[in-house]
Amino acid sequence: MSTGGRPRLGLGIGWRPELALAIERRGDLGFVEVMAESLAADDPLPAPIVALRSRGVTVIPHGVTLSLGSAEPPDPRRLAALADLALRLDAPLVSEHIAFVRAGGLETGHLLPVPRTWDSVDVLVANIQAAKAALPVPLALENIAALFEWPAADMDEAAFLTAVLERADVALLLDIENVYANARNLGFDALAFLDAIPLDRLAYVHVAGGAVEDGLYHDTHAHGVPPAVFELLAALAQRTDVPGAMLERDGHFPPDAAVYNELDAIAAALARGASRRTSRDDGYG
Amino acid sequence: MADARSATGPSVHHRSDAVDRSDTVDRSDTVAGRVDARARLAGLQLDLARALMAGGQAPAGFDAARLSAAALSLYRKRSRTVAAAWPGLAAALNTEFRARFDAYAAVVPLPGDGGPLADGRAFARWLAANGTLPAAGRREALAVDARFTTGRHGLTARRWPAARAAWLAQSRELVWAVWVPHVGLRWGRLHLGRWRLTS
Repeated sequence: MSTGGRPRLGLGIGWRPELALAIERRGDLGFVEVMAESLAADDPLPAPIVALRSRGVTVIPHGVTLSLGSAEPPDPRRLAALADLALRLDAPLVSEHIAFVRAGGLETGHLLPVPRTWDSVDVLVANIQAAKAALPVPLALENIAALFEWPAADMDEAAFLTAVLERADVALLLDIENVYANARNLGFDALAFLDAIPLDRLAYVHVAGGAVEDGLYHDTHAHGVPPAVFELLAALAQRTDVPGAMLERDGHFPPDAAVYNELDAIAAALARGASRRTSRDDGYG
Repeated sequence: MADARSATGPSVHHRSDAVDRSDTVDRSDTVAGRVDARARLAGLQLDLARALMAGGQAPAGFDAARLSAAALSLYRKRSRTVAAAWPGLAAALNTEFRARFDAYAAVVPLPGDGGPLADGRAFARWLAANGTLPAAGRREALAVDARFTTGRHGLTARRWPAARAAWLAQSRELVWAVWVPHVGLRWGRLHLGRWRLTS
């Protein structure tokens, strides 16, 4: 069953070796997301991933090194690796980011924001089109968190995200914690943001936790999900049907019970939001 | 740095406004336009990347304190992910890890291929050249070298089987790693006087 052509994914989690057992034991997961760069082309798929696939759990490869927001076009070898992985996993889609990770041969090792200018929109759209041509399945793009902003923006983040998604005609991987982080650190209204982006393009959602240091909220993926992020997730579910939502945890792995509690909280937030949603035609655009 | 062509209007919140650019030239439809956009973007991004990674000056218009926080965050991530990818090396260096990694990272940029594994391999190489690479680091380097070749841009997965060996004088043992594509990595150690096979 799909939502506007996008697959219904259900409840999910970012697969990490440290969480493999907890993930294997959780019976209600509809999907897991794997870090594309952690699965080398010449190695067999990790046994836990194969086991999840044979159980009918969807596996989605998530890339971090394509750097679609770079001035340079995406590397055909990286695209080919992502495409190959999508086929090996029988994935219904792949995901990446609206960000850059390298510039002029200098690697940053981290997702960085692009200037919110029409130049960036043009370049991103061209890069995304090149990526789409090389991929056998649809592409979803994620919004990132940033501690700083570029000067001389032509538009705000919601408008920029919208322009890129609409002109490139790709799906949205909405990281709800990144929305929270940016709203908090950069001073905009998170709910207004949700109202301004094309939720009809939503493929799935990332939910993660972070921590405050020196007055700034850091998207660490190594702390519990703040209540405010669950509330924002409920607000999202109130606005649109959510095909899939997953927990992201990259470090300071807690006991299995804590992971399960957060998965339960994601499901509860989605249900809470959906119950508030009134039946209506999509009134946007 | 400010773009004179600038805005299509006040900050947009309505989705359709962002898509309607009838009052601006649609530059993306021309190859030349896109090449210009790429060139402009390349310059901006390189300046920012240098500021964040190489301790360069914050470009004009940025909040210097925020950039500083971001640069620290990126550095910590680099250090943290190398320690996670090379746990034996990190444990062996112990309290020395931070100072040694600081010194290394100040002169060696992040490799393009292979992520923290490649960064750690470069760190291990730098340690060997600038002091001591602990035995745990040498063992981990063996495993990496069996699976990958090291090139100008970082690590590349080997397509053919390979083996690497090292003599660890302190523990008086020969350690080796063998890698076969689609099979995996096997390694073992020969302690003087005794065989031990570990996989």
